Amino acid sequence: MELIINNLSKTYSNGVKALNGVSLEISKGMFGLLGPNGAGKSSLMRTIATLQEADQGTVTLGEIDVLKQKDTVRKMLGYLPQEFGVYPKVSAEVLLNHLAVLKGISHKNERKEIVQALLHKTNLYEHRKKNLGGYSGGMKQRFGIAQALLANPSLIIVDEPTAGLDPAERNRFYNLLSELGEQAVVILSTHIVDDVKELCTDMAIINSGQVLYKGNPKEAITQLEGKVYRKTIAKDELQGYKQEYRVIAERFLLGKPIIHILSDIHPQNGFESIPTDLEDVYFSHIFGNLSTLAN
Amino acid sequence: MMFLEIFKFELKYRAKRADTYIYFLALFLFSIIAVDFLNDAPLGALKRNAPIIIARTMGIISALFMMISSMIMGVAVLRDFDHGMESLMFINPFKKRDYLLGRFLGSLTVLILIFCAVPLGMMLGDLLPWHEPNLLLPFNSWHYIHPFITIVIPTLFFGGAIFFVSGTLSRKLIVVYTQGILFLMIYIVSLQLVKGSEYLYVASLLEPFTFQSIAIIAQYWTIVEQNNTLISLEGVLLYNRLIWIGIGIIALGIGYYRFQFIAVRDRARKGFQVSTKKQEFSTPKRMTVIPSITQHTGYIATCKSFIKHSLFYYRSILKEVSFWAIVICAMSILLISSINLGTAFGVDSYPTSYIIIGELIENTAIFFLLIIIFYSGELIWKERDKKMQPIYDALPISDSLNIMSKFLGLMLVLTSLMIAMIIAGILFQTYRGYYLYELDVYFTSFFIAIFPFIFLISIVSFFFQIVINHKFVSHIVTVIVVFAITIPLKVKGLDHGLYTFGGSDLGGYSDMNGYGHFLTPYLWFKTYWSAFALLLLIGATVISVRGTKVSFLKRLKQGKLRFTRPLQKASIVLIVILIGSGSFIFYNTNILNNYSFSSTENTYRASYEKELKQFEYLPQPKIIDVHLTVELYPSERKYSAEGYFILKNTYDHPIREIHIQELPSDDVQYEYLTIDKGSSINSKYKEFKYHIFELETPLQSQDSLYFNFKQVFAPKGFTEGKEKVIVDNGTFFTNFHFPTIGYQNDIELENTDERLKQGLTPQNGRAAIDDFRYLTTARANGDGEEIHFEMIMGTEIDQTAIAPGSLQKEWIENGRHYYHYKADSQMSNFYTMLSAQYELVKDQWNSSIDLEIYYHKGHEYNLDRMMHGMKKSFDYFNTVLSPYAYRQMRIVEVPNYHSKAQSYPTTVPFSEDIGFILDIDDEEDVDMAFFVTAHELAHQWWGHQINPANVQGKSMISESLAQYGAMMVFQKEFSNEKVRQLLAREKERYLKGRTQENEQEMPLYLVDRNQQYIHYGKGLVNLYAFQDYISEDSVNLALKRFIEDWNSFDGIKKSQTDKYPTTKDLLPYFREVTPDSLQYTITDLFETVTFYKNKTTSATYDKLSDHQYQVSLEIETSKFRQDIDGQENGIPINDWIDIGIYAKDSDELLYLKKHKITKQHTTLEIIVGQEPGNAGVDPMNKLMDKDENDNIMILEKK
Repeated sequence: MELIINNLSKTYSNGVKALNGVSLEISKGMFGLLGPNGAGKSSLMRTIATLQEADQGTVTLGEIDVLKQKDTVRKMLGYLPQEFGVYPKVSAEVLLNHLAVLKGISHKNERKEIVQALLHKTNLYEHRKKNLGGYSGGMKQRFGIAQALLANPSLIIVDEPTAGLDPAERNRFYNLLSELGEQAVVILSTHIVDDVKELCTDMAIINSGQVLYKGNPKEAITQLEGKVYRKTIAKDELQGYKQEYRVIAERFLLGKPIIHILSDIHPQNGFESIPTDLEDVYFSHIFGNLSTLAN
Repeated sequence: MMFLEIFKFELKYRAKRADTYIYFLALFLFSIIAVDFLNDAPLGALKRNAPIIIARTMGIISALFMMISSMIMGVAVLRDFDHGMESLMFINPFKKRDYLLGRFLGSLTVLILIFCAVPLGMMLGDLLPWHEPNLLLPFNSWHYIHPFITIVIPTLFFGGAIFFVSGTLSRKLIVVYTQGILFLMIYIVSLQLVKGSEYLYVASLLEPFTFQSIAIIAQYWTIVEQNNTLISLEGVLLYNRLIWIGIGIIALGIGYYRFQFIAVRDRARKGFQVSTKKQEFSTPKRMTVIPSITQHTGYIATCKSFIKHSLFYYRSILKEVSFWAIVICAMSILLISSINLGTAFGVDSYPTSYIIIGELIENTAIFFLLIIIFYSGELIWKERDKKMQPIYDALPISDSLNIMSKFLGLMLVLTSLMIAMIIAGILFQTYRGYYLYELDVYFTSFFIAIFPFIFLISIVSFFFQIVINHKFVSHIVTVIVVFAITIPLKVKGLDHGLYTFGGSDLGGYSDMNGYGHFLTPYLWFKTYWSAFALLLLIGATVISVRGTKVSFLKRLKQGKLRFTRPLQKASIVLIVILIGSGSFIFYNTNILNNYSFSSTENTYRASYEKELKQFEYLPQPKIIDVHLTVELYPSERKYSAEGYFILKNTYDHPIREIHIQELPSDDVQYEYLTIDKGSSINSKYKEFKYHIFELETPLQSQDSLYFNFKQVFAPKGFTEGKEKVIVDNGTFFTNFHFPTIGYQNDIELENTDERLKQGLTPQNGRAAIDDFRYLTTARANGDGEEIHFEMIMGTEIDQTAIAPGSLQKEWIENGRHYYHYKADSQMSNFYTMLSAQYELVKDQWNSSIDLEIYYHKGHEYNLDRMMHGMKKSFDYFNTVLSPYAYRQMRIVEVPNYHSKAQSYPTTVPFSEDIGFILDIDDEEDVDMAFFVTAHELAHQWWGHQINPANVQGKSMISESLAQYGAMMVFQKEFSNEKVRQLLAREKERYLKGRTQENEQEMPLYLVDRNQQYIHYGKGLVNLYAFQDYISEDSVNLALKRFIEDWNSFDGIKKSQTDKYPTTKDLLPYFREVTPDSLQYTITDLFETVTFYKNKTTSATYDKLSDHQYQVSLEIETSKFRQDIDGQENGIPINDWIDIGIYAKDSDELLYLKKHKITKQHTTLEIIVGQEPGNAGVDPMNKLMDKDENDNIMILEKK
């Protein structure tokens, strides 16, 4: 089953173009959605998750028109929103069980089994009797993950899922996702580039509501292979370098700026060639192509 | 200065927020119409913009909208925590004082500005052009500003202070939401706590919204005073304001000391963190495989999730602390007030199920409303408040399932509460030692009579929550709408249940008649409105917010897509039900029956008057004989009456036309109406059911003729109104159902405004005392006052039918029960026909009069008291007045719809809730079963032997003398203490009643129509005082002579003059037996409106010897008389007034003697033989004194 997004646009009432002609084809497996804050990732995911109307464009999942047949989509959907709350006076087990009922798992034993399994999977089993009001941020996030996986979803949308998770939990979650990615379309939005590199077979970079890049992460890296150069410079030189080169990244190391630039030929001038990282790909799309945004 | 900065910021912050303006607007709009909604005093003489009305209304508004105070003040500091700003705020270098004070004063200023909407709105409301100018006083802005400053602002201050502090200290938004409501509840509880007159003063201090203190200040103000006097800040109102401002300041002080600039308070998550540390890094014991599951769709699965989801919401409400707070408040109100089964007589009723239910519902209605309004908001917003909506909204459940589950959850909560109330009711009955639990009555009342209303209100509340999509604004809108639909629409002419939301209520339950025949129409109306409400809910569902927030218009657009097949089907079914039930109702109320808009009816009455008033004084023959056969069919609510009246020309000239008025009801059909003399019928006024028989040969003086008729009363289907004439068990109707003679002025339109609209002049009250045209008419409006009477009544086999007279024969025929009654001698033309399944208890008085009580099985409680009352009444009246003319006296129980006892010749229909189910405690209570019986029996003389003319002062003769007679009978059987209790209550009734007087307060001897407070209240008190002055024997002698001369049947003067007696005829008999020195009392008590202001200013005593104590009293006495404008003016005093001295620590009077008082300040020295306790002027409160608490003082020893 494939999720096809075609020319999707959405403008908010305040004039912000959240989505601007987005077209994507997403098949089974993990799909990474990269983009800076406010790029439109969440808008896109909310639209696919039936929570937001689009102004134009279509989204289809196999035969299903996602924008119209919302109930059908919801039956196969697992969704972890970027921000969500929980009822504080209910325990994880009770709420999960309740959500399972609402997802149509009306067989009591099945429901019990899957709730137990997911509590184990998300390492919440020990705390299942505790009220969610007492959960830490990480535990709450894990609860969110658990509820998204109820009902064997074939479309999983997770928005910034690893926010607030410690490294161990994060790994566990990604393992879980990859496992699920074998049977389902999994859309993962993040701004952590490494996550995408490790996990996703496909990805897209969006900014200002537009798709800047879509494809395989490895290919993306290959495309830029040998074109990224690095140099440590003095602070006051930064402005000059920015004008002269396509600076895609800058950061400080030991008090001095290090810049990454994109160049088809070796720029000399003290630059050294470095192996391309997905991060460079990302920045090159976000900043490199649109120099107006570089500042 | 930092304070100023924070203060200004607060103002700016509020100035930018929309809700500030929404609150202002809501208050403003509400205030425009507030008087129409909130004022329960009759307007007319009391003007709409009288200072007291303005002040009272402002008090109520400030209480009702306490929620706004909470929303503004509660969040002033809390909002920093709520938005997570506290860490940013508190690190700044300003002082706690500046921060708190700035926020508080800033918010308070905003709050006061918002509440300025109240005086502004009220001013506009009073200035609106459509008010009748004569219903308004000249506009005076100070009348609005003054109460705003003295009443509203202090309330805002103390309320604001408390809300500010609780919001600040609790740091919880839910506290802010609930505290306004909680406050209202605490207020209700405290009001209940101090109910009962002895604590009124305390109540008025404890009550922050000043309803009570204003009521105390103005309790005996006449209309003139109410119109002209500003409620000044003094006395109890001043103390009240000071107390509450003080409480506000204390609250602020506490808040100041307890508040700390700390972002996170040191409160560990209960028992959690310890275990978290252990677990956070542990790896799972096993890697589980996620099992595969099956998702079910379809009917059963949907039902399952629906039920589970509903239960989930149900439980979530039960977990709320606020919910239990409301429940506990409601329970405590029940605990406090259900002890109060009091009746109008100050005597408790037996806790029968229906009374308990009534009490339960009345006391808890507001809590049900609170729960509905508050929790429908909480439920609709539950996911969004907890930010869970992204998860919920993406669940594969339909919009309707979601909202319906919430709705069902709420219904389950309310149902549980109702069951809890049933249990509480049963427990209470058990506690009172009453074991007749009628579970069927409980369940019917709660689940049939109350639940539909709750259901409809809940839908309204859900509807607004969803459509308006702003929790708090929806609360307010719902409150206003509920007010608007529960307070009966004042705009008359819009009262049909098909377009007044919810239709009417089920009406009262009667032990005798259950819910009677009202259930069927009730259920139809509820079906109709439920269908309507569910359609509303469906409409709301499809535009409910799901996913991201969008504008209302977009929601409307999207709604089309969300109007799914099941919803479409449901809507179609509902529309079919709506139209079906609506048509059926319409068929019944408007086609089978004739529903007339009030305006149509008003026009009808007006044209009746315009067309037919010309005949009002046309000489007509009088009914002198009634001979009827009445067949009753109670279960079909039908009767037929057939027979004749003999009409006699009592004039000395012939009569050419006989005018007959049929009962103006569509339920009545006449099979024939004939007279046995050659005549032709002029049908010109047929539309008014008014027929003129034009006689071929005139009816000569003293000649008579037979008027024959057969009328059938048969209601068809059901009507919009509640017609209670013939009911299944407890039929009670009177001769006014039968044809009457000539023009009937009781068909005339009464309401003054409506009359003016119809181009008629306002009706005067009763005719002037010397209006000769009315002196010849009395109780039967001139149709003939004294009749011979004979009636055969048939009813269903298990019922007893009762009419006046001796029972000649009783038999069963064709499965029906027949009774033949015949009056022993002439009686007044005022009789009843009654039928029900009765038990009978019989006795005799003096072996000459049969005493019978027909009662409903189970209502045996007070039969002995009533029987005793009848015997003692006959003992007294037969001796001191005149012999009773008949051989039987019957008390007959009737359903509580009538809620009165009324005296007809030989028959007293007695409503079940009066007398029959009173739980009289002989220690504490006045035996009202006895007293009412005596009063009604006294009417056999005052009303039936003496039939007063239909002019001013009429009810002094019929009612005041009956009150007096009953009191004399009562006094012989009961203690002085009980007599005093009764007098005090009647005096209160008078003093309270006159403050509501719309027209002019008349002196007793000219008492007008609808002046019950005068003829009952003042009548009893003043006649009692009169006999105290001139002695009981003298009064009775006067009355005996009056009856001899003026009784209807053989009174000498009555037969000489041909007119019925008036108070002008009565008073000379009084004067005749009154010594010259006391003649003034007749002027004071009966002929004028006179008050005393009696007060003891100093009271001391000195022990002269063991048996001699000298008491020194300084008393102040003044006397006032009301003039024609309602002003009370001082008049010189020259009166005999009681001075009394009580023994120490006892109620025993050592001294009671009338002293002649001639000046305002009097000093008295009196020697008594025992140590005295209290002393003072008019200790028994016999005189009309508005403040009787200062009459006596505790004596101080010199």
